[in-house]
Amino acid sequence: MLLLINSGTSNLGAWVSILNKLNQKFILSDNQDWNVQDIKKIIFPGIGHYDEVVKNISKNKLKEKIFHLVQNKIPYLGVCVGMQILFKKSKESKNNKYNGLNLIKGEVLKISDKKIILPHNGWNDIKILKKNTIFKSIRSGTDFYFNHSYYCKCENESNTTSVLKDHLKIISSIEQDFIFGVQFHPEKSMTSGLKIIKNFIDIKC
Amino acid sequence: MLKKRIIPVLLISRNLLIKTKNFTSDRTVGNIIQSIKVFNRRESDELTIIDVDASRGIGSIETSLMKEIVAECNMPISAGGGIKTNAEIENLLKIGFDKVVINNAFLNRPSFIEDSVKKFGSQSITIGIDVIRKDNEFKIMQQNKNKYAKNLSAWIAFAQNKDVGEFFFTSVNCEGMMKGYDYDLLNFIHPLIKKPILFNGGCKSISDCEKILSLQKVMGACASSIFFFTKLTPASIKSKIKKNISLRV
Repeated sequence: MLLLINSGTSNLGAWVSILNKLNQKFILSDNQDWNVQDIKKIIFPGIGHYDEVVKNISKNKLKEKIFHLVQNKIPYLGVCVGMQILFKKSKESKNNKYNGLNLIKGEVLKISDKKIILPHNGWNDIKILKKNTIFKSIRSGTDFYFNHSYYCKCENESNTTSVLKDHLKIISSIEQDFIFGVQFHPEKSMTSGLKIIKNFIDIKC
Repeated sequence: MLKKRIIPVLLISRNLLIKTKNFTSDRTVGNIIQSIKVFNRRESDELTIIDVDASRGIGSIETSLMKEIVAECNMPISAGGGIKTNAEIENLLKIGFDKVVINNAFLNRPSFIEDSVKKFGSQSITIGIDVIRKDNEFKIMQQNKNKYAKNLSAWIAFAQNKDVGEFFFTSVNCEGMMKGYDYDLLNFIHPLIKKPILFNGGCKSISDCEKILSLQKVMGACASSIFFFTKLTPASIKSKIKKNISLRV
């Protein structure tokens, strides 16, 4: 069973319709009827303020459950803030009050590239540095839909799988074992985005 | 490079797709779901859906229709029309929208900008500003009120200071007229804004889109009538725009 996280502020409906179209069974995290043992995959959709999202998943021990699952090598796909939450801290957080999952080393910073008008919203092309499972059949240079003002900075270079083609500092995707994070929105990126979601769903474990 | 966008603006009234002129004279132009399917098949960059009834203060956004709309498209999509509360924003995002466009509620209650940005992040909060020319001045038009609210430059500065995401401008005088965008308005606001600008009202041709997109901060050329009353499509416009504007093709 795939666990679809309801973080309170995400575009959940877009994911529900895509997963239905792909005939992928899933359960929403706020449905009480699920056991940690039955979860084989996790998708953490984007949209929302970092603090608000951490606050919401801290209810009902959801944060601990996600942490436990990911530590047990359950494949995780985090989108936008769902990727940023993999880090311990974000500059978006007011007074550093809330901490993320701390599964990947690094930090979440505000984009300070003068050539990027914030929010960085729209289609942008990525440069794939490491062709992993989720980039199967995706060419470097493909456009994806972004909508954010903060970006992830990994401590270990090996975690970075792609960057913005014209802004190499801005990481567009990361990985670590079975953890995948994408800064762009595959659920809104037409055919290429759908391919990424399919690639994730097809991971055998 | 970040691509500039051609954004169809789709107006809904009583579950039908409509077109207005200067915000009045509603005319039905088709079935909204059919139209969404076409824009999705043609891989539009983005869509903006405005519930005109809700923005005129008749009820609130028709969520069951909004759900049907989102189910038909896996592209970025914004919703607008009489949104007044964080609960409404949360619901629209949950349905699957990426951004909301808020206009009157911000004018009536400026603290709502900060409240919504704090909860959802600025990337999902677009401010809508409808501008009308009056006595040789640009004034902000406020729905259902006979007064013209606030000074335009001051309002832009205020919203920017509260870290709103994008600015979505519509020229009331040009809307639906297909006589070209309000370039005077655009030249007036462009220097005042540091955020992405989406500009709407009056688009009649490919060269209109090209002209406004060549301005640095204009990230989206919004249009409506041309997609219903001419043969142009977002893709055909993009294919004819000159090369030095970065577009997704």
